Amino acid sequence: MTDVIDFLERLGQDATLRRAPLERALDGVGGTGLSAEVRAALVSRDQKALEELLGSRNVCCMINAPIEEEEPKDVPVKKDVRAA
Amino acid sequence: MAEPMDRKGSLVCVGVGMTLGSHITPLARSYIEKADVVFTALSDGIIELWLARMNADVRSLQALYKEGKPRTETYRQMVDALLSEVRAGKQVCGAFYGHPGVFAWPPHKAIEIARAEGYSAHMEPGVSAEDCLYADLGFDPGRYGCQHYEASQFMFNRRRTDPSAYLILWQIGVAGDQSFARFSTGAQYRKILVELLARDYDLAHEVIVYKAATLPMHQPRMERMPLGSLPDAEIDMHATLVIPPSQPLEPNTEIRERLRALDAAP
Repeated sequence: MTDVIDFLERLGQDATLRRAPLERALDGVGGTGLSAEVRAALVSRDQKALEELLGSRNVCCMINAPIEEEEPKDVPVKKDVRAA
Repeated sequence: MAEPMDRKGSLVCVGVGMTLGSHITPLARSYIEKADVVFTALSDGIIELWLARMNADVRSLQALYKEGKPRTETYRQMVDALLSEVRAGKQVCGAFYGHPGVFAWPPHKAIEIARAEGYSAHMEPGVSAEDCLYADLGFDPGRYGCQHYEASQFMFNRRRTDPSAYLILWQIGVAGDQSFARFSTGAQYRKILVELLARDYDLAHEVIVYKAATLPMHQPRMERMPLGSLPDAEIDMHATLVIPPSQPLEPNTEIRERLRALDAAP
């Protein structure tokens, strides 16, 4: 028997499972042990329902903002040629 | 300043890729499994559950986000969280979705500070949303060129766009937010973005709203629409705007002549 995270990991890695219809992929890896609600959420590809069933939801996925730093490190600083 | 490797703590920032199970490299997984502590900033709660199985001490950085709180503050707290454990002498792994160095501020900053303090710190690349975009939409950035900008930065600053190349605008869901505290900005802000783009593109020009698949039973979002429809489209923080070229390449005859002259020279 597999749990839903194990199933998703295997689905992510296995070309045969990726090519198969989702229900057959579920049955092929012992997914019959999953609850009816989890299985339904997977088959209908309902991420929100799956997250609620698993009790896990992200607040935010953004890890970038156009922060203006005083001295950007990846931009070369021009040297003052008069100092040469 | 201490030489790198003098100090006991260390930091590696890795990417777990975009799709659960599909993109994590063996090396990234090994760093996660072998770290003393892992901090995560991932795209989905389900992916957090997956990562949590890889190490006994996995700490999500999600709790640092709050709508209404500037993300600049959140990112600095992320860096502090990583570095406090490095300074405590631990082997720290920061696991980020996609590539840890692509449109990701905290990993670069944490590595910069760790190195400045004499700790060993580096980044391992991952499969980014950009990589998935090329595969899913079926174009080669090398064919016509490809410009990438964070959508708000594109709006806040004067940029020169080349409409004979692809233009990719990231984080259009929060386009125009100067507070960095919102999780979405909405149609009125996107109208200003479209007006800006309309200087180079016709409103009927077909654009694509894109989102990489993060769970393996999903397909990517590849929704095509006229540029003029963008303000009213359903856009969230995961969405990326892809603008294909609207003009052909314009030959630079002067440069070509000079190159031909070089070729002909004895």
